[in-house]
Amino acid sequence: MLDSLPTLITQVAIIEDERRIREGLNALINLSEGYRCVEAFRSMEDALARPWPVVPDVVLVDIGLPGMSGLEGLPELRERYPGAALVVLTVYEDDERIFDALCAGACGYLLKRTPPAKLLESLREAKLGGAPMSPEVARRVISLFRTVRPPQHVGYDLTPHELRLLKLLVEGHNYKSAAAELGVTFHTIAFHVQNIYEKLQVHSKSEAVAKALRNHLVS
Amino acid sequence: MGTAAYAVADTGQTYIDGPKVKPGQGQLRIDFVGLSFAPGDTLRYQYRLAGVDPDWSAPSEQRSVVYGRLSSGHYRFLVRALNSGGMTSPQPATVTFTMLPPVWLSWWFLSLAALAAGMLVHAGHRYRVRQLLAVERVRTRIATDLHDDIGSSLSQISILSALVRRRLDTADPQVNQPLAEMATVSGEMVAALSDIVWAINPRHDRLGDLAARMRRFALDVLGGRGIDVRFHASDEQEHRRTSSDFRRQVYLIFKETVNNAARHAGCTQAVVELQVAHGRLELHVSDNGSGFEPMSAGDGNGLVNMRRRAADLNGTLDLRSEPGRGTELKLSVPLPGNRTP
Repeated sequence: MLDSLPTLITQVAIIEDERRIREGLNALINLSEGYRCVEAFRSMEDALARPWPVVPDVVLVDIGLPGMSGLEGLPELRERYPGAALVVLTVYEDDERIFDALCAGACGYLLKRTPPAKLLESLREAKLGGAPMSPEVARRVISLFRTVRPPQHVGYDLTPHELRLLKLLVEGHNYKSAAAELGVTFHTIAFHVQNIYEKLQVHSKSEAVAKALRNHLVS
Repeated sequence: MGTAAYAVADTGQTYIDGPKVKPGQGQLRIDFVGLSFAPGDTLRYQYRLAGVDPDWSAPSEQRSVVYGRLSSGHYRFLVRALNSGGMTSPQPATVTFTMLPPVWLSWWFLSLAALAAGMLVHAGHRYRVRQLLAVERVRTRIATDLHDDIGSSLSQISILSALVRRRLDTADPQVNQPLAEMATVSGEMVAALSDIVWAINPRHDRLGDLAARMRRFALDVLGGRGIDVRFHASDEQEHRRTSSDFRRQVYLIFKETVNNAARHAGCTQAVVELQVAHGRLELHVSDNGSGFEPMSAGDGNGLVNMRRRAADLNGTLDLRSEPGRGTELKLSVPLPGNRTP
Protein backbone atom coordinates (compact mmCIF):
# COMPACT_ATOMS: atom_id res chain seq x y z
CA MET A 1 0.00 0.00 0.00
CA LEU A 2 2.70 2.40 0.99
CA ASP A 3 4.68 1.64 -2.15
CA SER A 4 1.96 2.90 -4.41
CA LEU A 5 2.05 6.35 -2.83
CA PRO A 6 5.75 7.04 -2.51
CA THR A 7 5.54 10.81 -2.54
CA LEU A 8 3.40 11.02 0.59
CA ILE A 9 6.02 9.36 2.72
CA THR A 10 8.84 11.36 4.16
CA GLN A 11 12.00 9.32 3.68
CA VAL A 12 14.76 9.80 6.16
CA ALA A 13 18.41 8.74 6.33
CA ILE A 14 20.43 8.83 9.55
CA ILE A 15 24.17 9.27 10.09
CA GLU A 16 24.79 8.83 13.83
CA ASP A 17 27.57 6.99 15.62
CA GLU A 18 25.75 6.35 18.93
CA ARG A 19 24.07 2.99 18.43
CA ARG A 20 21.18 3.54 20.82
CA ILE A 21 20.28 6.85 19.25
CA ARG A 22 20.71 5.62 15.73
CA GLU A 23 18.63 2.46 16.24
CA GLY A 24 16.15 4.26 18.43
CA LEU A 25 15.48 7.00 15.90
CA ASN A 26 15.41 4.43 13.10
CA ALA A 27 12.72 2.46 14.89
CA LEU A 28 10.75 5.53 15.98
CA ILE A 29 10.65 6.88 12.48
CA ASN A 30 9.59 3.57 11.03
CA LEU A 31 6.84 3.16 13.61
CA SER A 32 5.28 6.41 12.53
CA GLU A 33 2.69 6.82 9.83
CA GLY A 34 4.01 8.55 6.76
CA TYR A 35 7.65 8.22 7.63
CA ARG A 36 10.29 5.73 6.70
CA CYS A 37 13.92 5.42 7.58
CA VAL A 38 15.66 4.31 4.40
CA GLU A 39 19.27 4.32 5.54
CA ALA A 40 21.14 4.35 8.85
CA PHE A 41 24.91 4.82 8.93
CA ARG A 42 27.25 5.02 11.85
CA SER A 43 29.89 7.17 10.20
CA MET A 44 30.27 9.64 7.37
CA GLU A 45 32.69 7.29 5.67
CA ASP A 46 30.06 4.55 5.61
CA ALA A 47 27.51 6.99 4.28
CA LEU A 48 29.76 8.09 1.45
CA ALA A 49 31.12 4.64 0.59
CA ARG A 50 28.40 3.77 -1.90
CA PRO A 51 25.64 5.72 -3.62
CA TRP A 52 22.29 5.30 -1.94
CA PRO A 53 19.61 3.42 -3.86
CA VAL A 54 16.90 5.69 -2.54
CA VAL A 55 17.40 9.41 -2.21
CA PRO A 56 15.76 10.53 1.07
CA ASP A 57 13.87 13.74 1.71
CA VAL A 58 15.76 14.42 4.91
CA VAL A 59 19.22 13.36 6.06
CA LEU A 60 19.90 13.55 9.79
CA VAL A 61 23.61 14.12 10.36
CA ASP A 62 25.06 13.89 13.86
CA ILE A 63 27.08 16.94 14.68
CA GLY A 64 29.83 14.99 16.38
CA LEU A 65 30.97 12.11 14.26
CA PRO A 66 34.23 10.21 14.64
CA GLY A 67 36.56 10.15 11.66
CA MET A 68 35.24 12.50 9.00
CA SER A 69 33.10 14.96 10.90
CA GLY A 70 29.59 15.90 9.93
CA LEU A 71 30.91 19.31 8.87
CA GLU A 72 33.43 17.86 6.46
CA GLY A 73 30.93 15.51 4.92
CA LEU A 74 28.09 17.99 4.45
CA PRO A 75 29.33 19.61 1.23
CA GLU A 76 29.85 16.13 -0.29
CA LEU A 77 26.36 15.03 0.72
CA ARG A 78 24.89 18.19 -0.69
CA GLU A 79 26.58 17.57 -3.98
CA ARG A 80 25.55 13.93 -4.27
CA TYR A 81 21.98 14.32 -3.05
CA PRO A 82 20.96 17.88 -3.86
CA GLY A 83 17.29 17.25 -3.24
CA ALA A 84 17.77 16.10 0.34
CA ALA A 85 17.37 18.46 3.28
CA LEU A 86 20.45 18.11 5.45
CA VAL A 87 19.53 18.45 9.11
CA VAL A 88 22.13 18.42 11.83
CA LEU A 89 21.44 16.27 14.91
CA THR A 90 22.53 17.81 18.17
CA VAL A 91 22.06 17.37 21.90
CA TYR A 92 21.97 21.09 22.68
CA GLU A 93 20.50 23.86 20.65
CA ASP A 94 23.22 26.24 21.73
CA ASP A 95 25.97 24.00 20.40
CA GLU A 96 28.33 26.36 18.63
CA ARG A 97 28.95 23.85 15.91
CA ILE A 98 25.41 24.25 14.63
CA PHE A 99 26.34 27.56 13.06
CA ASP A 100 29.34 26.02 11.33
CA ALA A 101 27.12 23.23 10.04
CA LEU A 102 24.69 25.76 8.62
CA CYS A 103 27.53 27.45 6.82
CA ALA A 104 28.57 24.08 5.41
CA GLY A 105 25.17 23.42 3.92
CA ALA A 106 22.84 22.17 6.66
CA CYS A 107 19.36 23.66 6.55
CA GLY A 108 18.47 23.32 10.18
CA TYR A 109 19.00 21.32 13.33
CA LEU A 110 17.12 18.79 15.39
CA LEU A 111 17.49 18.04 19.07
CA LYS A 112 18.16 14.42 19.93
CA ARG A 113 15.99 14.52 23.01
CA THR A 114 12.89 15.65 21.13
CA PRO A 115 9.83 13.60 22.10
CA PRO A 116 8.52 11.52 19.19
CA ALA A 117 5.45 13.59 18.40
CA LYS A 118 7.50 16.71 18.14
CA LEU A 119 10.29 14.84 16.42
CA LEU A 120 8.19 14.11 13.37
CA GLU A 121 6.87 17.63 13.35
CA SER A 122 10.47 18.80 13.45
CA LEU A 123 11.36 16.55 10.55
CA ARG A 124 8.61 18.07 8.53
CA GLU A 125 9.68 21.56 9.55
CA ALA A 126 13.24 20.71 8.59
CA LYS A 127 12.10 19.54 5.20
CA LEU A 128 10.11 22.69 4.66
CA GLY A 129 12.31 25.39 6.02
CA GLY A 130 14.68 24.44 8.69
CA ALA A 131 14.35 24.06 12.41
CA PRO A 132 13.69 27.14 14.53
CA MET A 133 16.84 29.23 14.59
CA SER A 134 18.21 29.50 18.10
CA PRO A 135 19.17 32.95 19.45
CA GLU A 136 22.86 32.03 19.36
CA VAL A 137 22.72 31.09 15.70
CA ALA A 138 20.75 34.22 14.81
CA ARG A 139 23.30 36.40 16.55
CA ARG A 140 26.15 34.78 14.68
CA VAL A 141 24.37 35.16 11.36
CA ILE A 142 23.98 38.89 11.93
CA SER A 143 27.56 39.15 13.06
CA LEU A 144 28.87 37.27 10.04
CA PHE A 145 27.00 39.39 7.53
CA ARG A 146 28.16 42.50 9.31
CA THR A 147 31.79 41.47 9.57
CA VAL A 148 32.28 40.43 5.99
CA ARG A 149 30.16 42.04 3.32
CA PRO A 150 28.87 39.47 0.85
CA PRO A 151 30.01 39.68 -2.77
CA GLN A 152 28.43 42.41 -4.77
CA HIS A 153 25.85 40.18 -6.43
CA VAL A 154 22.34 41.27 -5.80
CA GLY A 155 20.43 39.15 -3.33
CA TYR A 156 23.31 37.84 -1.27
CA ASP A 157 22.98 40.40 1.48
CA LEU A 158 20.34 40.26 4.20
CA THR A 159 17.17 42.17 3.43
CA PRO A 160 15.76 44.55 6.06
CA HIS A 161 12.96 42.04 6.72
CA GLU A 162 15.42 39.27 7.31
CA LEU A 163 17.55 41.46 9.56
CA ARG A 164 14.53 42.40 11.62
CA LEU A 165 13.54 38.78 11.96
CA LEU A 166 17.05 37.82 13.00
CA LYS A 167 17.01 40.48 15.70
CA LEU A 168 13.79 39.08 17.09
CA LEU A 169 15.28 35.60 17.08
CA VAL A 170 18.32 36.90 18.93
CA GLU A 171 15.95 38.21 21.61
CA GLY A 172 14.56 34.74 22.11
CA HIS A 173 11.46 34.75 19.96
CA ASN A 174 10.38 31.55 18.29
CA TYR A 175 8.71 31.44 14.87
CA LYS A 176 5.24 31.81 16.28
CA SER A 177 5.89 34.85 18.44
CA ALA A 178 8.09 36.42 15.77
CA ALA A 179 5.23 36.04 13.31
CA ALA A 180 2.91 37.72 15.79
CA GLU A 181 5.41 40.50 16.38
CA LEU A 182 5.91 41.18 12.68
CA GLY A 183 2.30 40.71 11.77
CA VAL A 184 2.92 37.92 9.28
CA THR A 185 2.10 34.25 9.11
CA PHE A 186 4.15 31.40 10.47
CA HIS A 187 4.87 30.24 6.95
CA THR A 188 6.29 33.62 5.99
CA ILE A 189 8.74 33.31 8.85
CA ALA A 190 9.75 29.81 7.83
CA PHE A 191 10.21 31.06 4.29
CA HIS A 192 12.44 33.93 5.45
CA VAL A 193 14.50 31.59 7.58
CA GLN A 194 14.99 29.22 4.69
CA ASN A 195 16.24 32.13 2.59
CA ILE A 196 18.59 33.14 5.35
CA TYR A 197 20.04 29.63 5.52
CA GLU A 198 20.53 29.69 1.75
CA LYS A 199 22.29 33.02 1.84
CA LEU A 200 24.41 31.93 4.76
CA GLN A 201 25.53 28.86 2.93
CA VAL A 202 26.33 30.72 -0.27
CA HIS A 203 27.94 33.61 1.59
CA SER A 204 30.07 31.32 3.69
CA LYS A 205 31.58 29.80 0.57
CA SER A 206 33.39 33.02 -0.20
CA GLU A 207 37.01 33.14 0.79
CA ALA A 208 36.68 36.12 3.05
CA VAL A 209 34.01 34.43 5.11
CA ALA A 210 35.78 31.11 5.25
CA LYS A 211 38.79 32.96 6.60
CA ALA A 212 36.71 34.86 9.14
CA LEU A 213 35.17 31.63 10.38
CA ARG A 214 38.52 29.91 10.57
CA ASN A 215 39.92 32.74 12.61
CA HIS A 216 36.86 32.72 14.85
CA LEU A 217 36.22 36.35 14.02
CA VAL A 218 32.53 35.70 14.25
CA SER A 219 31.26 35.20 17.77
CA MET B 1 85.09 73.53 42.53
CA GLY B 2 85.33 71.22 45.48
CA THR B 3 88.44 69.29 45.21
CA ALA B 4 88.63 69.64 41.48
CA ALA B 5 89.91 72.71 39.79
CA TYR B 6 88.98 73.86 36.37
CA ALA B 7 92.02 74.80 34.40
CA VAL B 8 92.08 78.23 32.94
CA ALA B 9 94.68 79.86 30.76
CA ASP B 10 97.54 81.39 32.61
CA THR B 11 96.60 84.85 31.51
CA GLY B 12 92.99 84.33 32.33
CA GLN B 13 89.93 84.05 30.21
CA THR B 14 86.98 86.30 29.89
CA TYR B 15 84.68 83.64 28.65
CA ILE B 16 84.57 80.11 29.80
CA ASP B 17 82.12 77.66 28.49
CA GLY B 18 81.18 74.25 29.43
CA PRO B 19 82.47 72.79 32.64
CA LYS B 20 80.17 70.04 33.72
CA VAL B 21 79.99 69.60 37.39
CA LYS B 22 79.14 66.24 38.84
CA PRO B 23 76.86 66.21 41.85
CA GLY B 24 78.17 65.59 45.28
CA GLN B 25 81.31 67.54 44.76
CA GLY B 26 80.34 70.05 47.37
CA GLN B 27 80.42 73.73 46.71
CA LEU B 28 81.34 75.68 43.64
CA ARG B 29 83.82 78.51 43.97
CA ILE B 30 84.54 80.93 41.22
CA ASP B 31 87.63 83.13 41.43
CA PHE B 32 87.93 86.20 39.32
CA VAL B 33 90.14 89.16 38.99
CA GLY B 34 89.96 92.35 37.06
CA LEU B 35 92.79 94.39 35.53
CA SER B 36 93.04 98.05 35.81
CA PHE B 37 95.82 100.11 34.44
CA ALA B 38 95.07 103.09 36.54
CA PRO B 39 97.56 103.24 39.41
CA GLY B 40 96.17 102.94 42.83
CA ASP B 41 92.83 101.89 41.55
CA THR B 42 90.96 99.54 43.75
CA LEU B 43 88.65 97.43 41.83
CA ARG B 44 85.43 96.25 43.16
CA TYR B 45 83.41 93.49 41.64
CA GLN B 46 79.85 92.72 40.96
CA TYR B 47 78.67 89.27 40.01
CA ARG B 48 75.47 87.64 39.09
CA LEU B 49 74.45 84.07 38.53
CA ALA B 50 71.66 84.13 35.97
CA GLY B 51 68.70 82.23 37.21
CA VAL B 52 69.74 82.39 40.86
CA ASP B 53 70.63 85.98 41.64
CA PRO B 54 67.96 88.42 40.62
CA ASP B 55 70.35 91.28 40.19
CA TRP B 56 74.00 92.24 40.29
CA SER B 57 75.45 91.82 43.71
CA ALA B 58 76.56 94.77 45.75
CA PRO B 59 80.06 95.86 44.79
CA SER B 60 82.72 94.27 46.92
CA GLU B 61 86.41 93.71 46.83
CA GLN B 62 85.94 90.00 47.26
CA ARG B 63 87.44 88.15 44.38
CA SER B 64 85.68 84.87 44.77
CA VAL B 65 82.19 83.70 45.30
CA VAL B 66 80.95 80.40 46.53
CA TYR B 67 77.77 78.71 45.57
CA GLY B 68 76.56 75.69 47.43
CA ARG B 69 73.69 73.40 46.58
CA LEU B 70 73.06 74.36 43.05
CA SER B 71 70.39 72.19 41.51
CA SER B 72 71.01 70.58 38.18
CA GLY B 73 70.76 72.70 35.09
CA HIS B 74 72.63 75.18 32.93
CA TYR B 75 74.03 78.30 34.50
CA ARG B 76 75.63 81.53 33.39
CA PHE B 77 77.86 83.37 35.79
CA LEU B 78 78.70 86.96 35.00
CA VAL B 79 81.16 89.20 36.75
CA ARG B 80 82.18 92.79 36.07
CA ALA B 81 84.60 95.11 37.71
CA LEU B 82 83.97 98.59 39.00
CA ASN B 83 86.81 101.03 39.31
CA SER B 84 86.87 103.83 41.80
CA GLY B 85 85.52 106.13 39.15
CA GLY B 86 82.37 104.07 38.93
CA MET B 87 83.02 102.74 35.47
CA THR B 88 82.14 99.14 34.88
CA SER B 89 83.95 96.82 32.59
CA PRO B 90 82.37 97.04 29.19
CA GLN B 91 81.76 93.34 28.91
CA PRO B 92 81.18 91.08 31.89
CA ALA B 93 83.21 87.93 32.01
CA THR B 94 81.05 84.87 31.79
CA VAL B 95 81.29 81.31 32.77
CA THR B 96 78.66 79.00 31.54
CA PHE B 97 78.58 75.70 33.29
CA THR B 98 76.29 72.83 33.80
CA MET B 99 75.40 71.15 37.02
CA LEU B 100 74.86 67.53 36.20
CA PRO B 101 72.03 65.74 37.92
CA PRO B 102 72.90 62.76 40.02
CA VAL B 103 72.56 59.46 38.18
CA TRP B 104 69.27 58.78 39.77
CA LEU B 105 67.84 62.00 38.48
CA SER B 106 69.26 61.95 34.97
CA TRP B 107 66.72 61.65 32.23
CA TRP B 108 67.95 58.37 30.87
CA PHE B 109 67.98 56.68 34.23
CA LEU B 110 64.48 57.91 35.03
CA SER B 111 63.17 56.73 31.67
CA LEU B 112 64.71 53.32 32.12
CA ALA B 113 63.31 53.06 35.63
CA ALA B 114 59.85 54.04 34.45
CA LEU B 115 60.07 51.53 31.65
CA ALA B 116 61.15 48.78 34.00
CA ALA B 117 58.38 49.60 36.44
CA GLY B 118 55.85 49.65 33.62
CA MET B 119 57.01 46.29 32.37
CA LEU B 120 56.77 44.81 35.85
CA VAL B 121 53.22 46.03 36.29
CA HIS B 122 52.29 44.78 32.88
CA ALA B 123 53.84 41.39 33.47
CA GLY B 124 52.09 41.11 36.81
CA HIS B 125 48.81 42.00 35.24
CA ARG B 126 49.21 39.49 32.46
CA TYR B 127 50.11 36.78 34.90
CA ARG B 128 46.96 37.43 36.85
CA VAL B 129 44.85 37.46 33.70
CA ARG B 130 46.43 34.17 32.61
CA GLN B 131 45.57 32.67 35.97
CA LEU B 132 41.97 33.78 35.77
CA LEU B 133 41.64 32.52 32.22
CA ALA B 134 43.13 29.18 33.21
CA VAL B 135 40.58 28.80 35.98
CA GLU B 136 37.83 29.81 33.61
CA ARG B 137 38.99 27.31 31.03
CA VAL B 138 39.08 24.46 33.50
CA ARG B 139 35.63 25.32 34.73
CA THR B 140 34.26 25.46 31.22
CA ARG B 141 35.98 22.27 30.19
CA ILE B 142 34.59 20.32 33.15
CA ALA B 143 31.11 21.61 32.53
CA THR B 144 31.32 20.95 28.79
CA ASP B 145 32.63 17.41 29.23
CA LEU B 146 29.91 16.57 31.73
CA HIS B 147 27.44 18.29 29.50
CA ASP B 148 28.39 16.38 26.36
CA ASP B 149 28.72 12.90 27.85
CA ILE B 150 25.74 13.03 30.14
CA GLY B 151 23.62 14.91 27.65
CA SER B 152 24.15 12.31 25.00
CA SER B 153 23.30 9.49 27.41
CA LEU B 154 20.18 11.24 28.61
CA SER B 155 19.05 11.69 25.04
CA GLN B 156 19.48 7.98 24.54
CA ILE B 157 17.25 7.28 27.54
CA SER B 158 14.72 9.71 26.20
CA ILE B 159 14.61 8.07 22.80
CA LEU B 160 14.57 4.54 24.18
CA SER B 161 11.68 5.21 26.52
CA ALA B 162 9.74 6.79 23.67
CA LEU B 163 10.47 3.71 21.60
CA VAL B 164 9.20 1.39 24.30
CA ARG B 165 5.97 3.34 24.47
CA ARG B 166 5.53 3.09 20.76
CA ARG B 167 6.27 -0.60 20.55
CA LEU B 168 4.03 -1.52 23.45
CA ASP B 169 1.30 0.66 22.03
CA THR B 170 -0.85 0.24 25.07
CA ALA B 171 -3.38 2.56 26.62
CA ASP B 172 -2.54 1.26 30.06
CA PRO B 173 -1.59 4.31 32.09
CA GLN B 174 0.35 2.15 34.53
CA VAL B 175 2.77 1.52 31.72
CA ASN B 176 2.53 4.77 29.84
CA GLN B 177 2.81 7.10 32.79
CA PRO B 178 6.24 6.04 34.05
CA LEU B 179 7.58 5.81 30.51
CA ALA B 180 6.35 9.29 29.72
CA GLU B 181 7.94 10.58 32.89
CA MET B 182 11.24 8.91 32.04
CA ALA B 183 11.26 10.73 28.74
CA THR B 184 10.27 14.00 30.39
CA VAL B 185 12.81 13.81 33.17
CA SER B 186 15.71 12.94 30.89
CA GLY B 187 14.70 15.71 28.53
CA GLU B 188 14.58 18.16 31.41
CA MET B 189 18.02 17.06 32.58
CA VAL B 190 19.53 17.71 29.18
CA ALA B 191 18.04 21.18 29.26
CA ALA B 192 19.35 21.73 32.79
CA LEU B 193 22.88 20.78 31.72
CA SER B 194 22.61 23.16 28.82
CA ASP B 195 21.57 25.88 31.29
CA ILE B 196 24.65 25.29 33.42
CA VAL B 197 27.04 25.56 30.53
CA TRP B 198 25.18 28.59 29.23
CA ALA B 199 25.43 30.31 32.60
CA ILE B 200 29.17 29.93 32.98
CA ASN B 201 29.98 30.86 29.41
CA PRO B 202 31.40 34.39 29.56
CA ARG B 203 30.05 35.06 26.08
CA HIS B 204 26.55 35.22 27.48
CA ASP B 205 27.23 37.64 30.28
CA ARG B 206 24.94 40.49 29.23
CA LEU B 207 21.53 41.15 30.67
CA GLY B 208 20.20 40.93 27.13
CA ASP B 209 21.37 37.31 26.91
CA LEU B 210 19.52 36.46 30.11
CA ALA B 211 16.36 38.13 28.84
CA ALA B 212 16.61 36.27 25.53
CA ARG B 213 16.97 32.89 27.18
CA MET B 214 14.09 33.63 29.54
CA ARG B 215 11.85 34.70 26.70
CA ARG B 216 12.76 31.61 24.72
CA PHE B 217 11.99 29.33 27.64
CA ALA B 218 8.66 30.98 28.39
CA LEU B 219 7.56 30.83 24.77
CA ASP B 220 8.59 27.20 24.41
CA VAL B 221 7.04 25.90 27.61
CA LEU B 222 3.93 28.03 27.88
CA GLY B 223 3.41 28.64 24.19
CA GLY B 224 3.77 24.92 23.66
CA ARG B 225 0.73 24.40 25.88
CA GLY B 226 -1.33 26.91 24.05
CA ILE B 227 -0.96 29.56 26.73
CA ASP B 228 -0.84 33.10 25.42
CA VAL B 229 2.45 34.60 26.55
CA ARG B 230 3.32 38.29 26.70
CA PHE B 231 6.98 38.85 27.43
CA HIS B 232 8.20 42.41 27.87
CA ALA B 233 11.85 43.06 28.52
CA SER B 234 13.13 46.61 28.59
CA ASP B 235 16.14 47.39 26.42
CA GLU B 236 17.48 49.39 29.32
CA GLN B 237 20.98 48.24 30.18
CA GLU B 238 20.77 45.17 28.00
CA HIS B 239 24.53 45.34 27.50
CA ARG B 240 25.26 45.44 31.19
CA ARG B 241 27.46 42.59 32.29
CA THR B 242 26.27 40.14 34.90
CA SER B 243 28.01 37.46 36.90
CA SER B 244 27.44 33.82 36.01
CA ASP B 245 25.98 33.21 39.44
CA PHE B 246 23.49 36.03 39.03
CA ARG B 247 22.17 34.88 35.70
CA ARG B 248 22.02 31.26 36.77
CA GLN B 249 19.98 32.01 39.91
CA VAL B 250 17.61 34.42 38.21
CA TYR B 251 17.08 32.01 35.35
CA LEU B 252 16.37 29.11 37.68
CA ILE B 253 13.84 31.12 39.68
CA PHE B 254 12.18 32.03 36.41
CA LYS B 255 12.17 28.42 35.18
CA GLU B 256 10.50 27.25 38.38
CA THR B 257 7.83 29.95 38.09
CA VAL B 258 7.09 29.18 34.47
CA ASN B 259 7.00 25.43 35.08
CA ASN B 260 4.55 25.96 37.91
CA ALA B 261 2.34 28.07 35.70
CA ALA B 262 2.45 25.40 33.01
CA ARG B 263 1.85 22.44 35.29
CA HIS B 264 -0.56 23.60 37.93
CA ALA B 265 -2.10 26.87 37.09
CA GLY B 266 -4.49 25.84 34.34
CA CYS B 267 -4.08 29.30 32.91
CA THR B 268 -4.69 30.65 29.47
CA GLN B 269 -2.64 33.78 29.71
CA ALA B 270 0.69 34.71 31.23
CA VAL B 271 2.50 38.02 31.37
CA VAL B 272 6.20 38.50 32.08
CA GLU B 273 7.75 41.89 32.73
CA LEU B 274 11.48 42.34 33.04
CA GLN B 275 12.66 45.80 34.03
CA VAL B 276 15.82 47.45 35.24
CA ALA B 277 15.38 50.27 37.75
CA HIS B 278 17.60 51.87 40.39
CA GLY B 279 20.33 49.29 39.94
CA ARG B 280 17.91 46.43 40.47
CA LEU B 281 16.39 43.80 38.24
CA GLU B 282 12.63 43.61 38.61
CA LEU B 283 10.87 40.49 37.38
CA HIS B 284 7.12 40.27 37.41
CA VAL B 285 5.30 37.10 36.33
CA SER B 286 1.55 36.77 36.50
CA ASP B 287 -0.95 34.29 35.16
CA ASN B 288 -4.71 33.99 35.17
CA GLY B 289 -4.78 30.41 36.35
CA SER B 290 -6.50 28.75 39.19
CA GLY B 291 -3.97 29.82 41.77
CA PHE B 292 -2.82 27.72 44.68
CA GLU B 293 -2.22 27.92 48.39
CA PRO B 294 1.38 29.12 48.71
CA MET B 295 1.71 27.55 52.10
CA SER B 296 0.70 24.10 51.06
CA ALA B 297 2.43 23.99 47.69
CA GLY B 298 2.48 20.35 46.63
CA ASP B 299 5.93 20.53 45.15
CA GLY B 300 7.29 21.76 48.45
CA ASN B 301 10.87 22.25 47.47
CA GLY B 302 10.17 24.42 44.46
CA LEU B 303 9.04 27.43 46.45
CA VAL B 304 11.64 26.98 49.15
CA ASN B 305 14.36 26.86 46.53
CA MET B 306 13.10 30.01 44.86
CA ARG B 307 13.19 31.91 48.11
CA ARG B 308 16.66 30.59 48.88
CA ARG B 309 17.99 31.65 45.49
CA ALA B 310 16.49 35.09 45.88
CA ALA B 311 18.06 35.41 49.31
CA ASP B 312 21.44 34.31 47.94
CA LEU B 313 21.24 37.22 45.56
CA ASN B 314 20.28 39.62 48.38
CA GLY B 315 16.95 40.10 46.70
CA THR B 316 13.31 39.86 47.64
CA LEU B 317 10.71 37.41 46.39
CA ASP B 318 7.05 38.10 46.73
CA LEU B 319 4.56 35.41 45.76
CA ARG B 320 0.90 36.05 45.82
CA SER B 321 -1.63 33.43 44.93
CA GLU B 322 -5.23 32.81 45.70
CA PRO B 323 -7.35 29.93 44.51
CA GLY B 324 -9.36 31.33 41.65
CA ARG B 325 -7.38 34.55 41.42
CA GLY B 326 -4.29 33.48 39.57
CA THR B 327 -0.69 33.72 40.64
CA GLU B 328 1.67 36.65 40.79
CA LEU B 329 5.39 36.58 41.43
CA LYS B 330 7.58 39.60 42.05
CA LEU B 331 11.33 39.26 42.19
CA SER B 332 13.61 42.16 42.92
CA VAL B 333 17.37 41.66 43.00
CA PRO B 334 20.26 44.10 43.01
CA LEU B 335 22.32 44.00 39.85
CA PRO B 336 25.89 42.93 40.37
CA GLY B 337 28.47 45.68 40.19
CA ASN B 338 30.76 46.11 37.23
CA ARG B 339 33.37 43.81 38.64
CA THR B 340 32.46 40.21 37.94
CA PRO B 341 33.88 37.75 40.46
